[in-house]
Amino acid sequence: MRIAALICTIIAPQQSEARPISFPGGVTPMLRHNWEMNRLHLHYTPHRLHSLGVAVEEIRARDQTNLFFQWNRLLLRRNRERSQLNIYSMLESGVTRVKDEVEPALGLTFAGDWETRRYLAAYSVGFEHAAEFDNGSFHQTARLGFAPYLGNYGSLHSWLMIQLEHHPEEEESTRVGPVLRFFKSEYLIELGVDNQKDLNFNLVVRY
Amino acid sequence: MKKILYLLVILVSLPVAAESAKVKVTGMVCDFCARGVEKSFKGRDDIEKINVSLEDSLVEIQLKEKSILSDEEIRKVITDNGLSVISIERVSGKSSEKSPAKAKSQ
Repeated sequence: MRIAALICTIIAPQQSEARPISFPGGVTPMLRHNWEMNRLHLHYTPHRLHSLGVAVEEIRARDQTNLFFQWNRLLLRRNRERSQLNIYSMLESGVTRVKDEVEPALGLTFAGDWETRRYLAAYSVGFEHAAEFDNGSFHQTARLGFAPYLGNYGSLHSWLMIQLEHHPEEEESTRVGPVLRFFKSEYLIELGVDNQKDLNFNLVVRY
Repeated sequence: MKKILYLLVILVSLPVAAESAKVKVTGMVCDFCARGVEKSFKGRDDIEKINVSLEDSLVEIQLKEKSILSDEEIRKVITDNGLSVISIERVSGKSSEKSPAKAKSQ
């Protein structure tokens, strides 16, 4: 049951670092390293309301690999002169391999964000289920961010954020820590550390 | 008569001012949003230049000479990028007009 909980926890999309849908025709590779995994995720946006992606995850400290296909949908967007509000759904389907056993797995995450040029708030909650493991699982991630200066288009943009993660099945069920975000041109980089002194690193490129 | 001919020659040789449009948008709060708009317009054959201002929530489109880009086409590109249009102001060598559009959410 413990293994089931762990598996369920790691297959969540956990898409808090960048919006899961780009502009039509846009391709977005994303690379993540954090306390539990290395993840490579690539998505393509055929329409402003949808994106399709594929993700490969390596779960360190366990002999485990995941492969998922992902369908993201923009459920709601509210544009204001100085702000944008989004709600997304992210459906993942694929396989997880643990110690030479391969099982199908399914995940569904809802994510929302509200952003101005100065402030940012984001929240996501994910529900997952892997075959053979019927207890299911969920996790939550929240972020609050602040831009210390307002850069115009094309300049270097910087954000100071605080990230809170809640993984009820983990020994360290709550993790909190600062994250620095920098982006310029097509590139977004995030660097952070949590209260367990584990490193967070995200790289996103929007082509 | 000579003066009139000179004047005509000068007028004909003057470059024709290409039309431009200033599009006021909502929801453009980050570089990634603006980059999508820029890429979408730059991919078109009728666009000479595009300037985006996050500060003013403004997209300035410079059309190529003799090119035509309707308000509907501009709105479509903007909304396809997830933003909303407040107004489109046309600017040309001879005249300028404003065509306000109601901002709407998607």
